[in-house]
Amino acid sequence: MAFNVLIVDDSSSMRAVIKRIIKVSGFNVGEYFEAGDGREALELLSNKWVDIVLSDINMPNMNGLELIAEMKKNELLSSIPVVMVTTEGSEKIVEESIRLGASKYIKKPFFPEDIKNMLRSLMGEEVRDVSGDDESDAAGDF
Amino acid sequence: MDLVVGVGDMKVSNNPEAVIVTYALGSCIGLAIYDPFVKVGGVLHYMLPESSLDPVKAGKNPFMFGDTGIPLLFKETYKYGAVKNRLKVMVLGGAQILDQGGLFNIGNRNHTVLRKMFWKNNITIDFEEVGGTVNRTLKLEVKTGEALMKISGNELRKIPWI
Amino acid sequence: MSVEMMKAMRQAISDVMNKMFFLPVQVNEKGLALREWFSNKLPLVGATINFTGSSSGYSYLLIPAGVAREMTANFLGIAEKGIDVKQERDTVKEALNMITGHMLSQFDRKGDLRIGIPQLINESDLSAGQLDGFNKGAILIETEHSHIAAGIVIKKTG
Repeated sequence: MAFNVLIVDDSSSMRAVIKRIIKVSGFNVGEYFEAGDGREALELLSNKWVDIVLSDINMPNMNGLELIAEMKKNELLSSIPVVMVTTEGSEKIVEESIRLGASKYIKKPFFPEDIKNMLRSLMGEEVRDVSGDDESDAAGDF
Repeated sequence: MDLVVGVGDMKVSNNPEAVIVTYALGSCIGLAIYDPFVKVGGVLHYMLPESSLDPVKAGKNPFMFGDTGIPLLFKETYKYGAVKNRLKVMVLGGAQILDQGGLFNIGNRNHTVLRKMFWKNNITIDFEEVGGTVNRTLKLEVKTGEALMKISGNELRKIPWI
Repeated sequence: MSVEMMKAMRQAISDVMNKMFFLPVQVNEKGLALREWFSNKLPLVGATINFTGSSSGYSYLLIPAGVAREMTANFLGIAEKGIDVKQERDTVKEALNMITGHMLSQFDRKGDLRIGIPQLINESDLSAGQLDGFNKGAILIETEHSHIAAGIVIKKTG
């Protein structure tokens, strides 16, 4: 079954990278949503169906930890898995994220397979045929 | 029936009797790909990252370099009916054999060029073991797609990639 | 900058540049001033991040525009042709974000230091005459075809 993804990061390049990784990994994604900070993410979550959130921690306006805390307070959002994708790697922050309810934690820098394997563990291995996709964004030749 | 891939070499096969093998992957990269649907497998063993280092040599032997060898490996398997999004991908090698870091760490540079090309070409890796200071051997059984790896001095072990 | 922090920073630069931007790098020990290091390589794109906590200070990253373009193309996996200045600037900020965060996660495992949001350095502050301001704590880095620089400045410890 298709699932919707919300990617939250103040870097538009990083959002594009994560989105592309998910695309090429062959998951059955319905829609991709993006937000530049936690506040934008919450606004989006209030009127779009999202099945999983991938979020940075360090962001302006509302950081990733504040976002999880807000989501957990909201009955409609509390069961949506949130995965931290972040440079913050201290024990303190990792523990805090998990305490607040993060499902997984991926540290930057990462390989595409780190995101792929994480999604597989949370959303199941539904691999669709990617051969018909528009690969015009890619710069490849084989 | 062993098909041996030497240094700067590539072999692709759909012969069910074939076992493609490559030895002594130090700083070199051993790249194995396999389409389990048509049972086609291929292995590339390259030594250096970029053909711009020696274009004349690359012209004579494109399998010596990652940037010329990798596309050829994939394209050769397509000739046997392999389909890109069905291919399983395994990467071994890229060790730091001599104590040379930074731009002289050829193992790292070999790995980086592979990662760069894979990203551009929408390819993800199913199994990877790179770096360290060990020599690795890779064996790919064409009939089943079973892959084995050996690290110098140790036993052969099965790779969980399919 | 302490020896440990310097070591962690060098490792972080190498890890991030290789893993996310596919650019092998090497630290240069010549100890040149940045003005000399970047001669013939201007203009630069630069970013800084503040950090606070048990120590406070900032980290910075300086990249020639051509290298920023290449990094962006590599990062996004697209041809250089399709890239705009906004993407390049965002890439440099995110590179510094990852380098600083990765460095701190090695150096500051307990999490006593917190990093802020990366900021772009004004182009006017990166002219040849202004680069001396960044010499303190600078790590000179060679890529295959060019030069970059990064550094940390500690303003207050304890």
